[in-house]
This record gives sequence, C-alpha cells and structure tokens, in this order.
Amino acid sequence: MSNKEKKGGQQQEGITRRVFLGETARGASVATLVGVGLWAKAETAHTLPLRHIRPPGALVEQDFLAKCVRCGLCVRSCPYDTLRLGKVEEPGVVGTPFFKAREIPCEMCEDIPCVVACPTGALDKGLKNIEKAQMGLAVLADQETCLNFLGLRCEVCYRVCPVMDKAITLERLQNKRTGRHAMFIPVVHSDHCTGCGKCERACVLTEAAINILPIDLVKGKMGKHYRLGWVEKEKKGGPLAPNIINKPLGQWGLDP
Amino acid sequence: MESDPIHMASAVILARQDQVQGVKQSLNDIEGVEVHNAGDDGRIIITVESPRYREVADILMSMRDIKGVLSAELVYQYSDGDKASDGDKAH
Amino acid sequence: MKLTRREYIKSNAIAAAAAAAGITLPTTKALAETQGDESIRWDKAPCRFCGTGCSILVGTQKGRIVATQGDPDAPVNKGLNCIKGYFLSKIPYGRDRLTQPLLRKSNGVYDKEGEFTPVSWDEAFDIMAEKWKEALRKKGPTSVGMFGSGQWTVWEGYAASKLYKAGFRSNNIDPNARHCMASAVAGFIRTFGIDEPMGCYDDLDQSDTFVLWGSNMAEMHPILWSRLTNRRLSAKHVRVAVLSTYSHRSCDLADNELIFKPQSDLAIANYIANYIIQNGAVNEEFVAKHTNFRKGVTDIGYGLRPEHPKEKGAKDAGNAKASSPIDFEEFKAFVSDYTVEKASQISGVPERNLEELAKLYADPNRTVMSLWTMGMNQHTRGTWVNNLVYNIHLLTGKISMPGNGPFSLTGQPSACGTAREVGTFAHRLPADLVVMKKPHRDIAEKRWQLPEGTIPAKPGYHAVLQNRMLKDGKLNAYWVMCNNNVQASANMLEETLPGYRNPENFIVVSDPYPTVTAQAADLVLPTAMWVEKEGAYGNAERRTQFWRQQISPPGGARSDLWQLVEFAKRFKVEEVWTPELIEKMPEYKGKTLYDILFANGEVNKFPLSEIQEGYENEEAQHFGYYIQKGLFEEYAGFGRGHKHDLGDFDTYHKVRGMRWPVVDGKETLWRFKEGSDPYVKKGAGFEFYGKPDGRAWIFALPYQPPAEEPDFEYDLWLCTGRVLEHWHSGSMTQRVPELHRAFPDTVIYMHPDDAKKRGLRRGMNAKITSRRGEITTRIETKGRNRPPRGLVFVPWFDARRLINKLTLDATCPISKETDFKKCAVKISKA
Repeated sequence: MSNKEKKGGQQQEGITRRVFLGETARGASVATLVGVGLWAKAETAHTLPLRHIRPPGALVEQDFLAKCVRCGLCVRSCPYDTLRLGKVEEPGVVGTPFFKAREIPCEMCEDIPCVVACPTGALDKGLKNIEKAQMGLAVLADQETCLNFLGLRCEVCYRVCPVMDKAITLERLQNKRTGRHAMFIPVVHSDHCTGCGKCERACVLTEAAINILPIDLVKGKMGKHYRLGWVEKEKKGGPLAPNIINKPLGQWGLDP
Repeated sequence: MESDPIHMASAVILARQDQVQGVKQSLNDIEGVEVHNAGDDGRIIITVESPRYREVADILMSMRDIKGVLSAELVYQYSDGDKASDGDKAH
Repeated sequence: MKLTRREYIKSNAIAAAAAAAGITLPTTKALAETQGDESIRWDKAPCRFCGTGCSILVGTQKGRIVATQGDPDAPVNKGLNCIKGYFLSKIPYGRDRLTQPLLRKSNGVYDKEGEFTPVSWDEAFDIMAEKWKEALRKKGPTSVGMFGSGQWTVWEGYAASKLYKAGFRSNNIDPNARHCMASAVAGFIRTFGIDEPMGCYDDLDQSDTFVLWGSNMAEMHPILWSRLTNRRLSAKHVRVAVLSTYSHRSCDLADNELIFKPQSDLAIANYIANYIIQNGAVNEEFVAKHTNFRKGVTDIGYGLRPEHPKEKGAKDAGNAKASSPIDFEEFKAFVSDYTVEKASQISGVPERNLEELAKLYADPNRTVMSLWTMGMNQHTRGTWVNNLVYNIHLLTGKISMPGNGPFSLTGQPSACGTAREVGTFAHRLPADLVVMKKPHRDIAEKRWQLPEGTIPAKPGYHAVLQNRMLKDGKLNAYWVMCNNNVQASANMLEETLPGYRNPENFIVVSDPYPTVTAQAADLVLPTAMWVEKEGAYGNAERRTQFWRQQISPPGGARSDLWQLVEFAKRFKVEEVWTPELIEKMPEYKGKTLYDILFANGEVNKFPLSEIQEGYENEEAQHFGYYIQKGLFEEYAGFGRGHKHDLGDFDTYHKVRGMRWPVVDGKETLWRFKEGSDPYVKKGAGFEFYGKPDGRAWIFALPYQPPAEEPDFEYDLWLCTGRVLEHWHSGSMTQRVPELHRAFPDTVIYMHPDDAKKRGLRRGMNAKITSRRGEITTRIETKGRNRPPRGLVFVPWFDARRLINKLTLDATCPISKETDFKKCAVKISKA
C-alpha cells in the first residue's frame, strides 16, 4: 500500500475487557453468558461486524470508538443515505456510523461531507481527497461463482468502479474450455481501492462474489528481506547493478 | 422513542426420549415460553420471554420441576431496561 | 425480510441455543433449491437479446422456467452468455406483466382521454376492427399502418407483412430495424445487390486485423468480443483498430485508437481508399474482374420534413440513391482529394494513426475484418459510409474469404432473420424482393394466390415518416408490436408522442410489459414473449435458429402471431379490397382476410400431429393446424433456388441453427466466393450475383457535414447508445432487479474539463437540453465511456429519463435510418 495513513482500517484487536464489559451492559447480560461458556462468541460478535464499513477517514477502530460521540452528524450530512447509526440490536455498532456496501454503497462525494461534519476527528479531517480513502478493500473472494471466471461477460463490478481502470482492472485470459473466447478477469488493486462498495452492491449474483472487507484482514505483507527486481529497476530508472552484462549467446542461443 | 423493555432467554432442555411430547406440551402451557425445536433424541429448544426480568429467571428455574425433564441449560439471555444491568453501565 | 427488534432478538436466542445443542434447524434454502433438478426439461432457444444469437438451454419445470444455461455445444457461444443472458429466466416474470387487454374508456365506452380499463379480447378486436374499417373507408389503405420488429419471430414478421401488404393493401409496415440496420441493408443492396454479410463468425477466429467502425462490441456484442479478444491474445501479429467519436471499453484492446469528430468517418474511409491507390495496394485483377465504379448524387438532404430549410434546397433529395458509372481513373481522381492532411484536419485524428490504419488495409499479407453497428448505421450518411467501407475491401479484394470481409453486426435477435430476410420494411417483400418492381410483386402475388395488382407499388411510410404521418393525421389506425418506439424514436416529444395522442388516430400497442409506448396507446394488448411461443430468429451471421414453446404465457397474454392471424378474421374481403380487384378472383367473394391469407391451403396444410409430442403450441391448437410450419414453408418458397435458400422446417428444430443459403442441406459460410458458395459459377473465382453482371459497385461519395452541429449556444455533441447491462429500451432488463441495480439510471458521460467549465462535478445532477427537449440526470466523468472535450454520451435505456426528447429526427436520405449519434446540446446545473 502506497498510502500508509491506514485510514479507516478496522483494527479488531485490543479491545480491553473493561471496555467490553462496559459496552455490553446495555446489551446481553454478561453474567449468564459467562455461565454457559459463550464468552468467546460474544466477544467476536461485539467487535465491528465484518460487513459493516466505517465512513471514509474513520480512525482505526478503537481510536474511532474513543473519539466518536455518536452525534450522527456524519449520517445527516450524507446526501445518499449511505451512512446510518447502529441500533440497539446491532451489536458492535450501537450509536456509531457505518454502512453496508451491499445495501447502499458510498458514492465518494468529492467534498466528503461526512468528514467535514465530524466534530471530533473520529473521521480524520486530513482526508481531503476521497480517492485516498480506505474504508475497506474489495476482494473478489469467490472465483468459483464469479461469472467472469466462468467466461461469461459480466464485469459489472469493474464498470461500476468509480476508480475504474485503477482500483479494478480487467485481465484478459484465454478460455481454455471453449478454445475460442477470452475471459475478462477483474483484478483489485489495493493502492487505489477506497472500499466504497459499489462493486459489492452491483454484483449480480444472489450472494456477491466480490466483497468489501477490512484491509488488515485480507492484505498480505511481504518481508523486508525481499524486493521485486522489476519494480526496483523501474523505480531507479535503470539496472541496480549497472555493470553486469548479458554475454551474447552466439549462434545457438537466443538474444537476451 | 424508547420501546418496551425486552427480557428474553433461550435454553436447551433435555427430556427423556419417551416423554418428549409430554414435556413439549407442558412447556407450551407456560406463559411466555415458546418451543422452537423438539428433536427425537430429547433435546428441546425454547425461548422464554417476559416483560419483567425476574420472571424469566423464575420460569427457567421452574422448568426443572416438569416431569420428564432431565436438565434445563440456559444458553442466551437478553435484557434491556434499567433493572437488567444494576449500575453496571459504562457511560 | 424485515425483522422487528423483538423478532431479531428472538432469532438470535434460538440460533444460540441451537448451536449449543448441536441441532440443525429446518432445511437450508440452498438445499431446497437444488432438490428436484432431475425433473427439469432442457431444450434449446436462442437468447432473446442481441443479434449475436447465443444458444440457450431453457430449463422448465411445472410450466415455469426455473433456470437457463448457455448451450455448451453451440458453435456461437460454447455455453457462455453475457450478463443479460445470465438473467434470461427472469424476463418473463416481471411483476407488472400485462395479462389482459386494456382499452382507454370513460363511462364504459372507448375514449381517447379515458383510463385504461381491462376488456376481453373480443371487445379489443371489435374496437380495433371498427377503427381500421373506418380508416380504410374514409382515407383508404394508406391510413392504416404498423410498426413491427426485429424481435418478431420469422413467422410473426411474415404474417404481419402479408396481412398488411396483401390483406390491407398497405405498405405502411416498417420494423424498428429501420432505426438499427437500414443503412447496412441499403449499403449491401447498393454495393452488392443482395443483403447481409458475406462472412460469418468464424472470421473472428481467423482474421489478422479487426477494425471497428463505430461499434462498441465490448459491451454490445459481449460474446463476439470475447472471441475477437481471444484471437488477439492468441496470435501476436493480430492488430485491433477502433474508430469512435468517444473512448469506450472496446478501446482497451485497441492497438490504434482513432477518436474522430462526428461524421468524419466518411473522410477517413475515402483517405484509406486514396492511400491504397497511391501506394499500389489495389488488387488490380480483382477490381478489373469483379467491380464497377459509380459516382453517387450528393445533394440529398437530411431526411427532415420537406419544409425544413436543410431540405428545401436539396435537389437530389427525391432521388438520393441515384448514381452514374465512372471508371477507375475518375474514382482515383475523386478520392485523391482525401490526403492524410485533409483527413486528419476533418477528423481530428493524428496523421500517424490514420496512416497506421490505412497500412493495415493496404498490406497484401494481412486479412482484415471490418465490423460496425450503430456508429455507422445511425448516420445521416449511413448508406454512404457503408458503401465507402465496402470500397476498401473491394479495392484490396479482401472479401468473402476466411478472416477477410466487411461485417455489420446486428443489434436485434432477428433483425436479419425477420426484418431483413422476411422483408417487413415499407418497400420490401421476402427474399430481397421489393414492392416497386412489378416482376417482384408478381412473384409475391402468385405465391400468395392473390389477384394481380393486390400489392401496392408505392413504398409505404418508413419509421420516421410513420410518426410524421400520425402527427399530421394521415395515418390513423396504427398497430405497434414488439417494440418501444415512443422511447426509441428521435425527437419523441415533437414528432412521436403527438401522433400517438392525435385525436384522429387509434393506436394499438402489443407488448408483454407496460412500456412508455404502451402508456401512450389507446389499446394495449398483452403479449406472449420469447419461449412462451414457438419461434425462429436469424442472427447476424445468417444463422436461422428455432425453438419450441417451453411455457405458457400468463393470463390472457397471446403471441403476436395469434393476434395478427386472429385479427385477420375480422375483415371480409369486401371491406378492404376494391370490387375490381375481387372481380379478378371471384372465388374470394364473401371470404375473410384470414381465409385468403392463412387458411389458403398452404399455411394450413400441416396437421397438428406434426407438432413435437410433449410440447404446447397454443397458436396451432387454436387455429387447428401447425401454423408456424405452414407460414415458414410458404415463406421459404420465396428464397429457395433464389440465393436465399432456407433449410426445411423440421431440420431447424433438430440442429443448432444453419447459415443460409442452405443448399442440399449444407450451410454457406462465405458467400460470393467460388468453392464456399454454391451459387458462384465455376471458374468465376468471385461472383457478386446480386448484381446482374456479378460485379460489386465501388462508390465515389464525399464527406459532408452532419444535419446539426454544436454552435455557440448548444455547444456540445450528444451521442446516444447502449450499455452492456441493458438491452435497448430496458423493457426487459430493467425488470431484472440485479440488472437494474447494476445500472439503475442513465448518466451523462462527460469530459471532466467540460464538467468543470460548467461548475459541475461527477455525481451532480445536470440538465441536458437540445432545441427539442431536456432531461435531468447525473454527470459521470470517470466511468466506462470517456468522451473527448465537446461531446457527451447518454445511454437511452432509462424509461424515466428519455434522452430521445433531445435527439434530432434527421435520417439518412437513402436508408431512412435516424441519426441518434449526432445533435447539439447544452448542459447546465440542474
């Protein structure tokens, strides 16, 4: 990821038991739950549910929860009714703003009114360009049902993407089964995907094959001990060790 | 607007296999109790609902006295309203 | 499903208890869905949407379509579909499906200003017949008309054509294919003397070069595009050039993207011809043996109303097709004017890109396939630009061979099979015959067992003229079937709607759904669609494909075929024909049009017993004979032995389609080439047998400006078109929730600088206005289409935002096809 601000990345660890107990008091009665050993279940259920996405610019989850005063101003400022506040029966989001991509995705307003409206900085005022938002990351999770992987011509997720050709590109592959058609495979690029959820919303399948998920849940990280040669070469604008040459292979070899 | 408080619990009842139907009937007769699933192996899933918190606990306790019930395990309880948390509130 | 808070808590409680106890709650939905798959009946049908003609297997169970799949063994699509095809099983089941006739009534009687009221079919036909007879009595046959469809089945188009041209003796029948393929038709007829492409889809797997002349195949012909793309991926030398007035999804694959100023494709095509000549790339032997040179008249106007200033001075407007012979030297001199500098200056395309394109055509070692759709056809010089692209293929001899040839793609599933081959146009008869020629009328009258002189010689009103004549009160009884012309026709507020609501007129619309057009009608007839009837479609590669009735239509819906043939029973011949005409065949006295046209010993000669066992055929049951077979066999008689041979009816039900001419049971892949086309004489090499001397015509035709151009006030070009998710007016695809969600409302695709200049941003509502009308919708500056500065693109599928309020009803004066791609608009904040 080129953007290291990690805005809106949903951190799921680190919720202390004290905070948890306090939060939960309004909900299920903790004591009885402990009694039947469902503690672990309740804890998972209580963190931000996977399919709930925070508004653009949201701080990492525990910071966000600490700063968000549940005022609902961001919700009121949203012109598309994307954002809403968690209700009592929605564990993990009670009183706080979120949206569900499959229901109403983020329209990525250029002036980001929700961030502007936030009085506490729970939504980071430093986010000025909506294309830098990282509400989550689109993941084409199911390649078995995705119509594009089956060779059908869908690509709806690609065409609805507001950062089309950057956040989602199409990779053309040959369809080995038919032998005469190409497949157009959507590929998500994390450095441009804002997690707006348009793709998940538009996926025509009964259950979306492409989903917005928390970045830290899906994003891998390469070790610092290895670099990609072609990337480094491009970055430098030439070979990193310029003095090495390819010896011509003569009549039997191929040109390098 | 604040809605009426809800106090709800669910429990798994283990009944003698030959008395499942009778137990089911007895459970259904209790006000606020609803039987959702009764397996042939004797396991029965119920919910208990009452406008008063204490009553839920009482009902659950009384189930053990029904003929044919081997055990009644509380699984889940939900309460809202002031009496539920007894000053355990965070904010 | 919406849960109350209480229900929500309870369901959580139950789930938790069930999980703790290890109990599985009642069967999951997924399991229930797959149960009983073994009792699904699978049978073939072509896709209901575009002209590609993908083959589908339709799965029915208990009278309902429960699933569809692409036919894995079909040569066209090998089991694939686009996203529209994926949802085929849903299109008959929209919630607002029409199931009974609706007549506008007040106080129990017909009233043009009344409310739609359910009526019986009898009452519907009563009022229709009354209005038709009244019109015929008062003003004669030219006052009745019909607007038909390239989505009609073959026999529906044939029955409609026969009912009008022979029954009502009115040539005022035209298909919506007029908006779509007419320029391709006129181009083929003018250059080759015979309609439809010479090649086939196999060219897509073999060509070295693909040139798109105004086609966004990536979205509009998705499966063919994946085939073309596969060819590009599998052979390194393959090149793709895309010409367009804006950048779109097909440009992704382009090695050479040429974004030209609207209308300047004429100059580009002439430049390429010039380049070929200047660089010695003419295939001289081919040109000498197989072509003639012609120069066309040029002051032909823009197909507007005669009183329009642009028409008044146009001296060749009445004779726009005319041309005179010239020789190669004259042609060479004519195109020499189109230098790369001039072509670049007119088109705005850099010289380098133009030269690169010309070289592809000129390279003798390269096969080239030119492909186009509406960019070339919906064009006030649509016929010309078709002719000019043929010129290039003829000059180089790159035609009628695998991978070589001009190929017009069709937008409708049976634009070829029905509109063109059956000849449901105002001037046509089956198998390329035309009403203007006496010998052609003679053939039709003989085959139809009619007295000589039944079919009128004058072409009827074409699509745009029908709207004008409705408005002017000259066309009064009008039937719109299987199309959505109020949404689809240009300048609809000024030139379409007024005719429908003209108090002098009675408008009938047959449709499965309450479209914009249906809502403008006086009588709406609920119609069976797609596999609710037995049918046949002909796709873009001349492939005729049949299907059987798979399900019953809902409620009182009836097929177009049933409606047409049943309506014919309402007319005694004395009520429609002159006494003199009847006197020529006195045996017809007292008979109905149904008796004469359909119960004529030909159409009704196949018994019900020939219908495949286990299948419904509601029309056949109703009329008492295998009417589809009778109509098809009578129709096929026109073309058999006359270069339009269709196979026999029963074979089509068994095979995955055949490409005509089907001679001795064999289909034809490449026409006009010896060896692959049985009609080419031995030793001829090539023979363009549509022309008497077997030679195709190369035309000298200039660049001319469009009918309307941006000016100071209306400062932007408007281009309209389609998107992958929706088909045409969206009357089917907008009723599929998933497709609606994928592209719910139309947008204005616009260059970000143009938006900024007007204080607009992406996502904002904007008003787009032409001299004729306006709509309001959202601005899109980043989407799938990227127009250059000065042009906007708006898809037309959205019934709530009718972009055709803005478009101009200018047409190609030869093909009469409207130019939906060019008019002047302005855009401001909403």
